[in-house]
Amino acid sequence: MKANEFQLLVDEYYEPLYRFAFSLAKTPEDAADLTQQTFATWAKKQHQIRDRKKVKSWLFTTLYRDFLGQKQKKQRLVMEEPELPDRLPDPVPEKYLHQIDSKILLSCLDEMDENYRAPLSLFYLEDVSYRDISEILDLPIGTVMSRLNRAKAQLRDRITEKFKKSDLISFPNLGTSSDQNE
Amino acid sequence: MNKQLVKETLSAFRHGLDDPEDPVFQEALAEVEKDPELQKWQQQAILEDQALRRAFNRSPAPKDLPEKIYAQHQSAKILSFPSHKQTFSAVAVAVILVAALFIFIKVDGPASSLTAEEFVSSTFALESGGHTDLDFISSDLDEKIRWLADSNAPTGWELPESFQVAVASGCSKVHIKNHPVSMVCYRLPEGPMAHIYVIKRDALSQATPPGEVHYDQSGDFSSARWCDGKFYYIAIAQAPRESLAGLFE
Repeated sequence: MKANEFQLLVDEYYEPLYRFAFSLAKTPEDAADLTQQTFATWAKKQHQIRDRKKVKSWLFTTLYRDFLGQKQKKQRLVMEEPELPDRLPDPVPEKYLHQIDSKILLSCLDEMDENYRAPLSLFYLEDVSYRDISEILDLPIGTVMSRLNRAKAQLRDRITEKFKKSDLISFPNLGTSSDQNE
Repeated sequence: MNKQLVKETLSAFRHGLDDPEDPVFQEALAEVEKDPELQKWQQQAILEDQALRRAFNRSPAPKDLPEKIYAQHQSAKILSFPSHKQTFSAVAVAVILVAALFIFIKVDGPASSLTAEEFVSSTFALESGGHTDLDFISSDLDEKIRWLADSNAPTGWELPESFQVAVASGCSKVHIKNHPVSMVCYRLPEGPMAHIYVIKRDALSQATPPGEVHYDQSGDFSSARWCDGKFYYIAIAQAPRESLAGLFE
C-alpha cells in the first residue's frame, strides 16, 4: 500500500473507529491506542484482504478482537443475557430528542452492559447493518438482533431517566417556570 | 406477528437504506403498513435513530490521532514495497539494489572513494529496500541533532527555511562506503514522508558545485538533490515530485 493510500484509509476511518473504540474502552487513551493498533495491524496484513469492499468490516473486526484480547488479559468476559422486558420501552420522547448530544449519549452508553455497547455503537456508526455487526462481533444474527433490541431498550431508559432528572433539577419544587421567576 | 415482535425485529432496521429489501424485515414492515399505532411507533423510532446517530457521530475524535498513526506507520515500515502484485518486478529491482548495497555500503573498513552518483544510487537502494528504520524518534530537531552528533554522523548542516513547514519525526545514521551519513525523516505538508540524507561534501569525489536543486523521479520515488559549501543533500519520498518540490518553494 502506498503511503497516500494508507493516509486515505486513516482519514476515512479513524473517526468511526475511534468512536467505536471509545464506546468499548471508555477512556480516550485506550481508544486511541486501539485505533492506532488497528491501523498497524492493517499495515501488516492488508495484503490478505482480497475484497476491498470488506476493508471497513475488517477494520472494525480487528479493533473489536484487539479489545477483547486486551480485556481477556485482565479478566474473563462473563456474558449474562438479561431477560427481555415484557414490554419494550417506547422511543425517547420527541421533546428530548433534540437535546441529545454526544456527551449525554456517551455517558448513557458508559453505564450500559459491555456486550450491548458494541452492537449499539456499530449500529449508530456509519449505519452498520445487523449482518455486518454479526460479522464484526462474530455473533449469530439472532443474537445481534436481540442484543440490539435490548441495547436500545437500555439506552432509551437511561436517556429518558437523565432528562427526567434534569427536568426535576430545573424545577425542584415542581413549580412552573413563571413561579421560579417570581 | 404480534406488535412486540414487530418492534423487536425493527430494532435492527435502518431507515433510508437498503434494509426494506431485506426479507428479515418485510413481514414486520407489512404489519406496520396495516397498523396506525405501529406506524406512529415507527415514526418515533426513526426520529430517535436519527437523533442518536447524529449525536454519536458528533462525539469528538482527537485531531492529532491521524498524525500519530502516520508516524507509527512510517516508523514501522517506511517507504517499502507494499503490494504483492509488484513482487515480480520488485524482486528484479531488489537483486540490483542488494548488489548496489553490497558494493557501496560497508560498515567496517576505511572509507573509500565515493562519487555523488554513487551516493545517490545508494540512498535509493536504501529506500527501495526498506532499510530505513529510524534509530532515534523525536519531533524535536535539536534532540535529533544531538543524537546524530553523539553517533558521529554529520551535523552542522542547514536545510532550506521552507523545511520548517515539515515535521521531523526521527533520524538515523547510515554508512555508505564507510562514510557516515545523517538521515532525517520529515513529514511533508501534504502527508507523505521524506528522508533527507546528508553527507559531507568533501567525502564525495565529484560533488557538483553549490547551486540549484535537481529533481528526479524513479518509479514511485521522487528525489531532490542539492549541495552547499560543506554538505551534499538528497531528499527522497515515495510521492510525486511536486510534493517534494513544494518544500523548496
